Amino acid sequence: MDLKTRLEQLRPRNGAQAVPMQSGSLGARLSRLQIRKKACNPDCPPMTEGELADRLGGRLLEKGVLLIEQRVSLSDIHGDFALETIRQEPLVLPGTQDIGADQLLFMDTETTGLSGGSGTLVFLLGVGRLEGRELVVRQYLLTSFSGEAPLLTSAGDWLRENETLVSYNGKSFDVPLLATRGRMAGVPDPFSKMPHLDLLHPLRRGFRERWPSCRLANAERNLIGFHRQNDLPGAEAPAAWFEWVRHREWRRLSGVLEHNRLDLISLVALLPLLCRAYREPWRWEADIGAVARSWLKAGRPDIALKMLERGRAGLSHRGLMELARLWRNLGEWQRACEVWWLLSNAGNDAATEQLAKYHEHVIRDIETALWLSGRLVESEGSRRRCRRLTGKLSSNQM
Amino acid sequence: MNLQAEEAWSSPPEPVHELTRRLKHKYAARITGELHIPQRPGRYSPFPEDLDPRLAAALRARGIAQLYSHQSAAWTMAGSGRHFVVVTPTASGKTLCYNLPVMQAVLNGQAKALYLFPTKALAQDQVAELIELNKAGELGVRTFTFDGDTPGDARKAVRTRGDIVITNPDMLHQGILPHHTKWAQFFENLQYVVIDEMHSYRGVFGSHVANVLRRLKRICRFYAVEPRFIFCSATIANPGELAGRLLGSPVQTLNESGAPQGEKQLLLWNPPVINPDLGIRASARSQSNRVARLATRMGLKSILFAQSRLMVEVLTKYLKDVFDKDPRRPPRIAAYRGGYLPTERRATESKLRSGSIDCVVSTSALELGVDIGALDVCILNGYPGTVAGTWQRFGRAGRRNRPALGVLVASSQPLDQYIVRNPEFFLGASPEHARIEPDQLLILLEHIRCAAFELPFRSGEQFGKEALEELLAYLEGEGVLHRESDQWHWTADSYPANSVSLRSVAEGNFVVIDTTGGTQRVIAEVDYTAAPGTLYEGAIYMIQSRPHQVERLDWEGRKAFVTRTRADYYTDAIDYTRLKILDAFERTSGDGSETARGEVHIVRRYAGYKKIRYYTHENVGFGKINLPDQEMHTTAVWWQIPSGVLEAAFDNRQQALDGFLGAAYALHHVAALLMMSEPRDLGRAVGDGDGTWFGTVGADGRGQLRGHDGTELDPALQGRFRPAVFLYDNYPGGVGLSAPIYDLRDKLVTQSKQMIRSCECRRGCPACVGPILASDEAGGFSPRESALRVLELLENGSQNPA
Repeated sequence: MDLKTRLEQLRPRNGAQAVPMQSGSLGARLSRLQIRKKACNPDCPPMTEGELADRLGGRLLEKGVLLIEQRVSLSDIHGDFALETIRQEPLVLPGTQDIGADQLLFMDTETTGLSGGSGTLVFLLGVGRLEGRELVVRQYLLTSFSGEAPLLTSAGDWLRENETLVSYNGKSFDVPLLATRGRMAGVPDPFSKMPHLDLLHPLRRGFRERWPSCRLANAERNLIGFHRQNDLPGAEAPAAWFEWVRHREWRRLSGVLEHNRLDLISLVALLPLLCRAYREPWRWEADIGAVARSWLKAGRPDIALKMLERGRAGLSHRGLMELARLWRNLGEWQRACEVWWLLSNAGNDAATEQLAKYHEHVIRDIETALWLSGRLVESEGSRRRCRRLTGKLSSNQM
Repeated sequence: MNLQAEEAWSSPPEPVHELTRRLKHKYAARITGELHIPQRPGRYSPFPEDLDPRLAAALRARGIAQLYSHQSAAWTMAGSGRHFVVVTPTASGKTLCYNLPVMQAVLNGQAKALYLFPTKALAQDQVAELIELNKAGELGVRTFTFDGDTPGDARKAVRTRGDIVITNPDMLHQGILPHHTKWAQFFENLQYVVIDEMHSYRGVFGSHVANVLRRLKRICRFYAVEPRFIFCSATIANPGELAGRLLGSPVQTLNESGAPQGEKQLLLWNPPVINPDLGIRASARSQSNRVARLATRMGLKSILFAQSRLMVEVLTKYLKDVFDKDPRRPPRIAAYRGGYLPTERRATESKLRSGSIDCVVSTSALELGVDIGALDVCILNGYPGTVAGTWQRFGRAGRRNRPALGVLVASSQPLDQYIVRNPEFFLGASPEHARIEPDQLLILLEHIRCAAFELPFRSGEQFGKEALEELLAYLEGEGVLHRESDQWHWTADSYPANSVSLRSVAEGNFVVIDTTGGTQRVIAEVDYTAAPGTLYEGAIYMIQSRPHQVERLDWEGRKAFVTRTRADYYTDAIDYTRLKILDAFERTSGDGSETARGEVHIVRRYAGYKKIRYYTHENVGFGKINLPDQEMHTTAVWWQIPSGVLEAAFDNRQQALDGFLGAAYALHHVAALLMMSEPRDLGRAVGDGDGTWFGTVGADGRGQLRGHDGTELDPALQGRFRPAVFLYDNYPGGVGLSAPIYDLRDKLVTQSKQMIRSCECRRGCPACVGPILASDEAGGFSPRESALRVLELLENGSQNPA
C-alpha cells in the first residue's frame, strides 16, 4: 500500500478530524499538482517579487524582502482628531516620563499565527516615526522564507538610539516573537532591548470595567472615534500571506498592508488621547478608581487624590475605599470617616471594619467600635474583635 | 540512606513474619507457590576521587559516607561521556546515579540538565530531594519544576535561571520544544538529559516519547550541543535495547545493584474452588480483602493493588465498611487511582508517608516511584498481566531494609490460573521486553508536523525510518508545509503540538462535575478512552468509594454531571466489538483454515450496563447506554475456517460459534503470555470479517450472533457462515504486536489447545474457554470440546504458506 492510503486508513474516524483528501495515490496527486502549475504557465506566469513590489508601491530591498514606505501628513484627520494632537499634548502616563514625540517608534507586526512558538513567522513588520510634519511608515514585507534575516537586519538598521517603542500588546506578543525570529534566523534582535510603551496595559487598566473588550478596534471606536471600513480582519492575515507563498496570489496582501498601516496610525492617534484619559478620566468615561490607583502605584498620591475627589460621584465602592485610604494616610480622618460611613451604611463590610478600627485605636471609643463590630459578617476575625472589645469594655468599666 | 550496618533482623519477631506464618498455617491449600528472597547486604565504594569536595560535604551532611557500588559505576560511566541506563530495584538510591554527575557538572561549569519524569508527582518528589542535597551543602544549584502547574510569571525565571529543570514528556512536547528559542540559554548549555522511570515509556506512550526525543536531539543540534543521556529503569528484560530505541543511539547498561535488600517472602494464592463442576473459584476480591483485613488488624501497613479503577472502589468500600465505620475518626483505608484530582492524590501520599493510613487500595498509579514511605505487605488482587509489573508492585513493600510480604491472589482468568498453577513459571520467568514502535506511521507523522513547526526540515535530514521526503511531501500536499529550495517550512496558522497527546490518540479528558446541592464542583477527570465505559448516563461513579450517579453526559463538551447518591449496587458496562478486514498483508492457508495478518476497522459499541449488588454480586438490573460508536483502524491477525470444513466438523452453527468464542478466549490469553504484553494491549473478536455480523457471549453463557446494528440474528438463517477469530493490536494503527503474533501463530494455536486440554474442568471454565453456565453443564454440551475442535482445524491450516 502506498503511504497516503496507509495514512488514510489509520486515521481515527471518531473525534479526530480526518483531513479531506483527493483520491488516487500520493504520486498521482503530486504529479497532478505539478501539471496544474505547468498548465498555468503560458497564460499567467507566476508573479515575481519585483512585480509584487510594483503592485504594492514598494521596492525590492533584498531577495525575499520588500519595503513599502509611505508618508502621512500630521494634519490628516483620523477619526475625530488630527494626528498632530500628538505634538500638542504632554505625553505622560503613570510611571513614564514625558517622552518627546520625536523619540517614539510605533511598531506593529502581522504574523502567520497567534499561537506563538518557533513555527510562527513575522511576515510583515510595520514601523513608523514622526519626521517634521509627517509620519513616516515603513513596512517590511517578507516574500519568501529566505528573506527573514535581511528583513530583521534592515528594519533594525532603521532604528535610532534612545527611541522608545510604542505598540499595542507588543510586550507579550510582537517583541518576543521578533526575538524568536532573530534566534531562528541567526541575527541580532534590537527590539527586546528598547524601552517599550505598550498601550494595551494602561488602556486595559483604565477601561476594562467600561468596555466589553480592550481590542484595538474598540479603542479606536470609543476614544478616537475611528471606524474601520472594509478592513481585512486580522485573523485572515495568515491566509493572505500563505496564498502568496503557495500560489503567488497577491491581492489580499494589499489589504494586510492597509490594515497594518491603520494600526500604526491608530497608535499615533491613541497615545495622546490615552494620556488625556489619564489626566481627566471623568471626561473619557474611564474607570476613575483604576486610573487613580495607577497614579498611586506610580508614586503620585497627589494626582490620585485630586482625581478621586473630583470624580467622586462616579466612583465604585472600591474607588471610594481607595479615596478613604488616601485621606487616612494623609491623616484626614474626618474625610476618611465620612466616606467609610457612607459605604458602611450601604452594607460594605470592609468600610465597617475600618470604622471599627478607627473607633478602637484612634479615638478609643470602644463602645461604638463594639457596636460596629457587631455589624460585621460573622467570621473568625470578627468574633475575635468582638471578644477583645468586650474585654476592653469590661476592664474600662471596672 | 543510612549506611550503618543493618544486620539481620533478629528478635523480637517481626509482625510480618507472624502474618506469613498465620497465612501459611491456616490457608496452606490455597498457597500454590512461595519464594523466599533472603536479605542481601550492600556493596559499597568510597567517594570517587574527582568528586567535588562541596558535593562530598553535602552528601556527608545528609548522612552518606560512601556510595553503593552501582552509584560509583554510574559516576565512572558518566565521566566517560557515554549514554547509559541504570537498572536497579526500588529504593536502591538510583537517583544519586544521575544527581552526582549532574550536580558536579553544574558546579564545575555552567552546565544545565533536563530531567524527565513520566508524571508531575514524581517530578515534585525529585525537586524536594535535590533541594535538600543542595541545602545540605549550600551548593547554589537551582532546581525548578516546569509543568502545567508552573505559574506564567515564574516560567521566565525557570527558563533563564534554572540549572536543573524537571519536567515531563508532555510538557517537553507541548511547552518547551515549540518554544525552544525562549529556552536558548538553557539549550546552549545543556549537558545532561535524565530520563527516569524509563520502563513506563513503552507501547504507545513510549513510541511517542521516542519521537519527542528525536525532536529534542534536533533542537540540541540547532544549539550545537550534544547532551549525554542517563536513563533509569525498573527491571525489564531489555533495558539497554529500550533505551537505545528511545534515544536512537547505543546506550550502555548498568544493572548490578549494590544496595542492601531486606528479606522478602512471596506467596502465590489460588482462591478455593467452590463449585468443582463449573470450575468456579471464590473471587480473588474476597481473598485479597481477607489478607488485607488480617494485615490491618495486626497493625501492618499494606497496599492492595487492583486491576481496574472500579475494583479499587469496590475493595475500598469493603475495607472501609470494616475499618472506617466511625466517621469521626480519621480514615484508615484510602483509595488511590488515576482520575482523582491531584490535590486529593497528594493528600493521600502524604498520609501514607506519615503513616496515618493503614491500607491503601490502588491501581497501577502507585506502581511508579511516588514516595509513599515504608509498607509491610503488598497484595495483588489478580495478576497484573506482566512479570515486570508484578515485581514493580511487590517492590512497593519492604523498603528501607524491613522484611516484607507479597501475596499474589489469582483471579479466575486463564493467565492468573496459569501463573498460580505453574508457580515455577512465574518465579523463574525473566521480566518482559518493553516494546516501542517509534516509526508507527501515524505517530511518526504527528511528530514530523511538530518538528517542522520547531525548525524547518532540510533535505537530507533524517527523522525516523520512513522516507522523510515522502512524508514531508505528503504534509505539503495537506497544506501545512511549504518547500522553498532545500527547506520545508511550517505554513499553517496552528500549533501542532496541542493536537497531539502523547498518552492516547483521542484527545480531550472528561471532567466529572458534582452538582449535588445546586453547586458545580469538579471532582475527577476521566480520560477519553475510559469515558464511554464509566460515565454513561445512569452509571454509578465512585470516588473514595462514595457513589455518585451520572445524571447527564455532555459528550461534545467532555463533561459528566453527577450527584451524590445512595446505592447498594455498582454498574458495569457491556460493550461489543465489530470488525471488518480492510487489507491482508500476508497469509498462509491449508486444508482446514487460513491465517492472515492485515489492516482492520473496528467499531466498539457500548450497548448497556449491568447493575451489580454489593457483596452478593447478583445482577439486579440493566440499563441502556446511548453513545456514539468508537472506531479505529489497527492491525490484526485472524484465523478463518472455510464453511465446508466447518459444516462437516460441527452439528450446527451454534456449536461452531461457541467453539470460536471459546478458542478466541484461549488464544487471547495465551497470546498475551507469549507476547509478554498486558492482555488489554490486545483485543479479541469473533465475526465474519466483513462486518455483517459478530459473535458475543450472551447472558445465558452461549454465543450469540449480532448484526451490524447490534440486533440478535439466528446463526442458522445466515447465508454464508465463515466465522473468524481476530486478535488485534488495541491501539489505532497498531504498535507492532500483530507481526510477532503472526510469526508465533503455530505455537499460539498449539499452546492454546494444550492449555484447554490440561485444564481440570469438565466442559469449560473461566481458566480455559471462559465461564459456562450450569445448564450447559447439565445439558451435555461442552464448549470446551467445541473450542478444541476449532483449534484443531486451525492447527491444520497453518502448514502451507500461500
